[in-house]
Amino acid sequence: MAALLGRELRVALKAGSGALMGVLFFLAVVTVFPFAIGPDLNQLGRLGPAILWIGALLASLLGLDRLFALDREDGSLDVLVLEAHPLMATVIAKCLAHWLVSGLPLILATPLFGVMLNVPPLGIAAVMATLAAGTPAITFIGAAAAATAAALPRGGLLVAVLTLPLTIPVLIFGITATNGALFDPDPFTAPFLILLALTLFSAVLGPLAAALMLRHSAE
Amino acid sequence: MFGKHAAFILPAYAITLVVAVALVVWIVLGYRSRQREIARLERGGASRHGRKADRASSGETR
Amino acid sequence: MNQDTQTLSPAPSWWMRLANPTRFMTFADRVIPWLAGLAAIVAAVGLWLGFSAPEDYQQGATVLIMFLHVPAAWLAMMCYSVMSLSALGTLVWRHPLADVSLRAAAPIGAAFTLLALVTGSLWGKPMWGTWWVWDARLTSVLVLLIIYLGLIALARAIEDPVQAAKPLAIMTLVGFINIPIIKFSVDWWNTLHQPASVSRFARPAMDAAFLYPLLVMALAYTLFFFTLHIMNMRNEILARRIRVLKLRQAGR
Repeated sequence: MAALLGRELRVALKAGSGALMGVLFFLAVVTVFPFAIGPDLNQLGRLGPAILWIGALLASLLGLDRLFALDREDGSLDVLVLEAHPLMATVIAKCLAHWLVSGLPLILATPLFGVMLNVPPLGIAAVMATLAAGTPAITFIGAAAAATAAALPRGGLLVAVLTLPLTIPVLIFGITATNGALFDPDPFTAPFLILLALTLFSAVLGPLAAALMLRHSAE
Repeated sequence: MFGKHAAFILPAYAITLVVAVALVVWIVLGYRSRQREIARLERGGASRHGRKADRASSGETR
Repeated sequence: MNQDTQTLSPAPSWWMRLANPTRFMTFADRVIPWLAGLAAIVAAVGLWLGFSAPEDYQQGATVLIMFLHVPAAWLAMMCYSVMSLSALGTLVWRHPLADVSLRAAAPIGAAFTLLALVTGSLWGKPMWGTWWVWDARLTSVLVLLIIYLGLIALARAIEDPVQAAKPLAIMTLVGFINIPIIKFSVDWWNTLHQPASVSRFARPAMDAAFLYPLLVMALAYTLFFFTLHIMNMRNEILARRIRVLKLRQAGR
């Protein structure tokens, strides 16, 4: 599994530009909000965690089409299906690699954007923790759509549209947990655990569906 | 008859009716146009006016 | 189709006989008028029951909208269940018409979902003062609409319907499995933000005077859905025939 992950990491790093583009898009979303809702720092500070989560969610969704892009381009998608190890393991490794290359940078960029939105340090930490727990789920959930729709016309948007409704629970519990860390009566542990559970659940369902998709397209 | 709420009840029923009728019309028209298209193709696709005419008369093939 | 004639099993079930597209078309032609007629009659009964029911002391006459909104929401969900069953038919049982069933159902389900949202909005405005509320039910139905439209977009993006069958089936089932999770999360989110007030479209213990029209309308909607579904399956089968004929002619 480690070898698999290593290989997929190398592939994901080659597909590379997705990471910077994702952070750039995240920056764009964060920048646009104050224009729309006004520069009042108090208001921004209150809404900050939500803006950060939305930015990271959208950036993740739009980066999904890179998940299988390199393999599709050089034809090795079919080879993946024929390999000895189970296709699902390959897909899980690929998703993890994709998250490390595209999702992690978003989390690392959060402190900077959080400061721009006047989010208190505790809030920034909470957002980073919940993003770390939740963004892998976005990759897992989107894997099946990425396997089939990314190569189609308007593929990137189609993948995002197909995946977005399914990631709403992740967003809800991510934000709820964040607010739980920030405001006293609200619980943090329960929503955070549910968030982790969602990620684990999608780590099984997503790659399973994606493996089915890949097998079908290789037939 | 419905008092002040008529302004909401009537549009609700109207739009339900419109959507229901629109669904039926869309499906029926699609059926007829597809039947015509099949008849035309089975006759040998006599149209020489090119693919544009094909697409126009058959609507969608999806 | 060959399996019927070669095995020693008894006469093929109606299920398998219907797998033949031509036989399905004849079946459809016969059944559709009856279903349509039945739907119309049941709808008439339901409307009559609804309009003769007394006014609800809370909602006044707007309870009449409930007879349109609730069945539409139920049908939106039922249609997705039909699509999910069809998806299983494609992936597990490889029934030849399962994919036709899925594609034919999708736009109809989307229409019912849209109808549920619009009637929900019209129901809510006189009571709560706004055209839209982010309550649990309306929000869940909105998410369901997005899922429907995404599937329809995917279907349209893949040229060959036979190629599209498995991806559509898989994405439909992925959606089906996620829908309870989405519903749970939206309910949680909603109660978080509206702790004190009663759930907006709460169903009070329903008096028989309102329950009967509601159930009858639900039946009418169901019959109407299946009428449209079978009609659209015919269209889908014809469309595939057209595609095959065109490809054959282009190949000459």
